[in-house]
Amino acid sequence: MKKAITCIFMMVMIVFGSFLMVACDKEGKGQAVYSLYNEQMTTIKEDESTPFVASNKNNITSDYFLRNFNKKEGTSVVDAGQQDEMIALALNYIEKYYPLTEQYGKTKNIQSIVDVMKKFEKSYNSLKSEYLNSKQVSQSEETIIYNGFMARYAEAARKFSIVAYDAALSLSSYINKYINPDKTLTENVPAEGAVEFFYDTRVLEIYNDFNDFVMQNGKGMVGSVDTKWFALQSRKADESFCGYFANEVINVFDSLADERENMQKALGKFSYYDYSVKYNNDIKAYGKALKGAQLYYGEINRYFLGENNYLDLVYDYLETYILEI
Amino acid sequence: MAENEKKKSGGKFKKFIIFLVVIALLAGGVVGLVFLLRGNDKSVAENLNDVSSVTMVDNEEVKADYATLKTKIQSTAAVSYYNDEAASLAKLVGTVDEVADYYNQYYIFAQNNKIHKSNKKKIKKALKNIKNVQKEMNELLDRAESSSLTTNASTHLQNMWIDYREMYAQQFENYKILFASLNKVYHGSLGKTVAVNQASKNILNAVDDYMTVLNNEIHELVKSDTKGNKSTGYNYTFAAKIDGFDKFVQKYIANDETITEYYFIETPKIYHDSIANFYSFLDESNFINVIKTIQIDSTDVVADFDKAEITDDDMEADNVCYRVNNFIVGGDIV
Repeated sequence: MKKAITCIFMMVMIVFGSFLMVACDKEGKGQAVYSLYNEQMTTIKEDESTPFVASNKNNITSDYFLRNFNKKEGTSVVDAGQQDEMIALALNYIEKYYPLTEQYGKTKNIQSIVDVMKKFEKSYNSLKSEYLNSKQVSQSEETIIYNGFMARYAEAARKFSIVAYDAALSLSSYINKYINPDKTLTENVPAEGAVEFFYDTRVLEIYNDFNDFVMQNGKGMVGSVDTKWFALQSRKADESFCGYFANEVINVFDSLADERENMQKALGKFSYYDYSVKYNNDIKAYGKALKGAQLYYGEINRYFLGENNYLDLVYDYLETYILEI
Repeated sequence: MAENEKKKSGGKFKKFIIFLVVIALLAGGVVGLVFLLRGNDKSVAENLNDVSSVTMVDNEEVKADYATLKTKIQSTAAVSYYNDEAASLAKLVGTVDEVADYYNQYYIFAQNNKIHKSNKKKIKKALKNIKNVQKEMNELLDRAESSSLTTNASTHLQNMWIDYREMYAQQFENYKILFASLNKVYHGSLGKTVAVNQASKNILNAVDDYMTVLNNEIHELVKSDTKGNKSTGYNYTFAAKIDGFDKFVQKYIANDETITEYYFIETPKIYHDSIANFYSFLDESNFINVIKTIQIDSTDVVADFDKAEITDDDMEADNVCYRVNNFIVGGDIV
């Protein structure tokens, strides 16, 4: 009996010890965030059959517009949706800022980024596949089939947009944590790039809000982004906002960040797609199926849709106080 | 031997069944007790909506019944002196409902932190009291609507109105408690969101101050105007304050632009930061003193800072006093 217990004990210790060694070994080496992003961004740009192409549309200049992203409406050919613009904006941000991570070598505890980039790769492959299908079929010009493939391509693009924003926001969190380029924002003379990073990241967060609302909650079929927002990425913040004024600006965006939590709570409960399509914009009818529907819709209205909604107020604030003329 | 074994196994089986039944009964009892103790689990938002739906604001039947009572008072000479009060009370019900609606929009997003937890019970109790009293008030209105009122009509109407006022006084006191607690939750549990700022503090604190002043006025009237009282002893003095409160709520809460624009636009920010200075120089009791001075000046609702018994000479300027005066009566931002 004693021998049996001793044997079992030793086996448990060996297994536990091995586990510890493997885990420690993994922790010790870490991974390079730069290589994760670089690999994906290089692939999607240089892939022979990439769906992405360089172009300029609606005040956005990007190497990441979708080829052949249109559909037939009657006898006209129109955009298949705003997935195109939303993806371009997210990938522009990633392309601009991921090189900053090269200085940081390997980092521990980045499993969340590893997971996001795996989804990014998988989603990109689905997107590419649907693009290739649409390219093949569009040459034979049967309208119904053409639109069917466009619908699949649009849906793959919608899903990719969600993953692209996850990747962009993971990147911004990482840079904020380890590099913190805007830490000098409140000083009288901030470091080079501080204002730019702060501004670009705040704008990315707003683009993500729209993507969550239109592409996720609205399923890419209801709701839209006012094109005035698209120009913000290419504009610059006035470098004179720093020191005391920077504290006020930070306050504004902190309040928006807190509000964003309420908005996300509302989007988590309320489906704008169901409200528009299933309940035909009848909030009382939706309220019978969802407790608090009116209150969640109230928050969505305050944030995105109503007159003087919060995002419009932010836009006017940016125009008045932050942006270079 | 075989018979004994049969008996033993039969007995064991019976014990097992009894054991299962006892466990089932116990489990059922525990579940029942949990539901009983948990009580009414309706959310605050649902309760706020329920209250609205049985007041004369949202309920056409209650509105019609109140109008009937008011018409009977107006057309009975001996009690027509209550007419102004009846008109003001209807306005006050609407004003209070507007404030409740405002809080209701946001309450659902309150984090379940210490401040929220410490106010939840007060909020639920106040709502329960408000609903219960509303039920009694509606029953009285039903009786007023159906009664024929022939002999001793004026006495009957006077008693009805006094009863109605007394019930409203109870309800109003609960609204005061409700709004004070909702204010704490709003500013303590919503985080630093867009609609939580100096403007919201000024405005919702002013609501609490108005509720304090009006609660005192209503309760004083309940004490002074009793059954059998002559009209010469009746002194209704706070119609202007109800008008002022309504103007204030319509200006800053029904249209909450100054709250939502605070972070983004300079004018409301400067205005409300200046109002906040008033609080930092002088305490809340002085704000209440300004509300107490509200009166009608020809057709305007005005407050009189000079009559508010504020004695601090270091108070920053007439500009702030003018702003506060203007703010309290729902004037334009200056």
